Amino acid sequence: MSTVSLEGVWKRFGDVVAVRDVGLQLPHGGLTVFLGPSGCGKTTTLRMIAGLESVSEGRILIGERDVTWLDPKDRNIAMVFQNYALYPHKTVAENLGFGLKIRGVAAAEIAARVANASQLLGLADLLERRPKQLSGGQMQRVALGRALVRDAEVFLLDEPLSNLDAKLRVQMREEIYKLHRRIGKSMIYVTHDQIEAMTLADGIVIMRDGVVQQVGSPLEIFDRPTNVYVAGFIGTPEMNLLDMRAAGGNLAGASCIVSAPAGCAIAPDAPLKVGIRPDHVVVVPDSEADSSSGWLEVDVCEHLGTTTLLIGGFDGQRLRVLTPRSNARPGDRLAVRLPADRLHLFDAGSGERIH
Amino acid sequence: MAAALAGPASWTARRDRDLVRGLAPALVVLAGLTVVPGIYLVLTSLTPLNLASPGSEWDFSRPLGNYVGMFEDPRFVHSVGVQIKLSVASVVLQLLIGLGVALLLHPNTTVRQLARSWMLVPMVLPPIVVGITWLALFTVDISPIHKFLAWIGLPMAPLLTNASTAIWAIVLAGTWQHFPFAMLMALAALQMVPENPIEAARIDGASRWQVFWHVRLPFIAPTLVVAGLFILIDSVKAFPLIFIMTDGGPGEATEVTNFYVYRQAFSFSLWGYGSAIAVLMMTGVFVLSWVIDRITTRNDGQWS
Amino acid sequence: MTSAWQRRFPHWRGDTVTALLVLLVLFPFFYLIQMSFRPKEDIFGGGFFFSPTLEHYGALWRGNFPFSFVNSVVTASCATVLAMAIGVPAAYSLSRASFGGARQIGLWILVTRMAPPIAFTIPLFIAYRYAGLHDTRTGLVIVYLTFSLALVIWMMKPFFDAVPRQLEEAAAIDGCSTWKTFLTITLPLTAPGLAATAVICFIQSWNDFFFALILTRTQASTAPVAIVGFIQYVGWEWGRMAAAGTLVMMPVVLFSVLVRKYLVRGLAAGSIKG
Repeated sequence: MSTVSLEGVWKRFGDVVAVRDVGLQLPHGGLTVFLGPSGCGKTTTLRMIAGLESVSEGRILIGERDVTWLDPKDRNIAMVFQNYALYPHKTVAENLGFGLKIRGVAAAEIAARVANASQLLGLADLLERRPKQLSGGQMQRVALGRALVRDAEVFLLDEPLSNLDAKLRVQMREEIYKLHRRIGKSMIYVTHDQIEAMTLADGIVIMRDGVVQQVGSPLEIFDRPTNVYVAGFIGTPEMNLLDMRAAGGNLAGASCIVSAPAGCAIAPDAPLKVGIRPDHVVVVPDSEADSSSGWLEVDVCEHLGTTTLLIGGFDGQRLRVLTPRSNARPGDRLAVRLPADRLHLFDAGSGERIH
Repeated sequence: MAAALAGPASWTARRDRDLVRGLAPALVVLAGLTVVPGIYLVLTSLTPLNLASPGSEWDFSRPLGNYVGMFEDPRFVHSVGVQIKLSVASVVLQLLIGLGVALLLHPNTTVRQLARSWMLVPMVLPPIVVGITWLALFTVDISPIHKFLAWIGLPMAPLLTNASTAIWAIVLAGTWQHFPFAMLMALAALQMVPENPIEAARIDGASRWQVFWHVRLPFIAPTLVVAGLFILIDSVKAFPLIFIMTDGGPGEATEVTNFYVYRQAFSFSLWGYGSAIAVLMMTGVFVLSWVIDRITTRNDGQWS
Repeated sequence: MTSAWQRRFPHWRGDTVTALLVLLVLFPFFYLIQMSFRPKEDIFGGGFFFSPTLEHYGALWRGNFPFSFVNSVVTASCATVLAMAIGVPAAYSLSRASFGGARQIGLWILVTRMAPPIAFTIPLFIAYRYAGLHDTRTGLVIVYLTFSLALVIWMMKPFFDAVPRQLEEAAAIDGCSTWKTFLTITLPLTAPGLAATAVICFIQSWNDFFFALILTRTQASTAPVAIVGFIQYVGWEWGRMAAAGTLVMMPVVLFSVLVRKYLVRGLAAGSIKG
């Protein structure tokens, strides 16, 4: 069973730490997404796995082999680059077969594998063309094909869809998903787009400033973010994060009291960040307003069709509420309730999850 | 890189090692052919080396003798004056004419695109050929230009034999030869001026001149500065034209510093002295090259 | 109200000026060429029409000139070939280098290109005397190699810079070593640059006057120096000078027209992109 493992991996560029003490065990055959904003270290980590960047400290293993000091070509990996990196002076067929040719594979075998891959990716008609005659989507598929032909153990993809327009991106996302199911090899996919992460990943690794924030399946991360950063990163519209303090068994804002979720132990009077997703906030009719609800002063109404996003003031802070289509208008005052079982509690200082 | 010696090396380290191996032969050749002669030049400049007097090459008794003597040598000082005239005139004329022609050739019509190629001819001609051509053109009995001027009633005196005009004749020939360089650089810079500010200026009602002065010129100014520096350095090397057209004369009217060194070394065999002047020139070239390097590398970072 | 003709040639005014300017600028060039075909008696005549003659070229051919011409061809070619062989990999290394000192090397190369030849000739003259390289083609080739090498590195580096690193990383993953990547991926993509650099290198060596003047006498003198020889004769052999001049400049003009796009880079030593 081959996995990709990173043990205590650091990467320094001079005095700057790009990747800090990363330890990961990625499952065999799964599609793992490294997710995070630019500069968070996800691409650097990917390149270290590929062997294109050296490791300052730590080990990298592919399967049982310690590949930390091996050349990229000896690691049995294949890579798809953001800008496709197709060889401009070679035809599509030559691009696909180049890796095998260098390794001295017989011409007949190369032709067979190229035919196979091009059939899988719909490239059969394009084999004699050159990259500059291809569209973005076609180039993307050739880049994928190049990796496929090599039949490597691990596939590394560095933001492969970010150069495509929105519609093509959705299409290619599906194709990558199906491709992965088909070939069953381990894939590591780097992106800053959380939608790609949520739809494609078996497991997500969220990184920030070189540090791994959380590792888990998409739904795990969505349902239980381990810190404020992850909470705000995953989910559209963004999760609300309100400043409150612990008071008795409840949470006190500036002017309202909300009941705390059951069974959580918080130090009294501790400052907290309370998170709740916009679609979990409940709008109650005025008649049901009571001490457990608060008031939303509506500022902005974004009518999205089936749903409406209301943005306004709540307890002196901003609150976003996603409701089924509503007739609310700016200036309205609505009663809203924050159900205790939907709350995520984080320590205001460290950002870490408390409950 | 230190880890490469101590333990296993990474791909990047191995790649660097391969690259250095590719660079090494060139560095060896360059070192042998530039550093070694350079050191020798400096050493020679500290001696009163005269090929005619044996033993003078090891005479280090007055190491700075040549350098001091330079500033007391009226002929040297005069040559610097001539050099300054040549250099300043070259830079100014070549930049102005080069820029002017570039502006004329900037629009993309077929005629102008063809013209861009033809305009290169003066720049690639062997300097000696330029020299003999202009020598003919400046010789009154022969030159069609002189004949034409006489024919329309504006006869001109011979320029090369007159001490006060000889240097300007050289400047004219040199400008003809080298203006395409400034033209090429200005053209390339003009092609890179972005369209948006120009359109915005036109919408604001700017005239063609105003568009040039306020939008294009600031953009191409750095390129012009670098071009000017290159022209300046090149003007210090002026030799073939002077050799063929005036031989430094009449008298010493066209004897620029570079030519003076040639005289010192090859007519008077004063190699020590010649070396000292050459060292001085090299220092100037080094400083100007350093300035160019500074400017262009900063620009590279800005434009990427 | 623009006429149809004005609409078709909107820049006709500028174009006419341009055409006239080209003729004006190239006048000296054409003057020399036509002089080489004019019969001796009429060599400075003003008439446009004359019966062209090859007598000057014939006289050149019978004299020493072909010998110098061959010297020019040999020295310029050798220097160019050597400079390309050594300089192109060096330029690649400088382009991809992640070791320090690349900047200083760049400056060194610029200074080499910009240095006045006299600074080299004094030490080299003495050295060549000792080494018996004076008045030899080898001696000239060595000198030309220095400047050509600097030129090749200076010109090729921007071409290599323009090849994306990701292409080379893809090749590395596909299994290529450093220099295999260079040969199979990078170099083919810079072919136009290689051609242009070689031509410009050749032109620079071909046009040299100073070094040939100083470092050669009779055996290894090159064509530009031979032209000067015609001035020593009594009466100045203008016909032959013009013919020799025309022959010497023809290869250069032809080559330049071929590589005009890259002349900026070569002669400007790469201060602007493109």
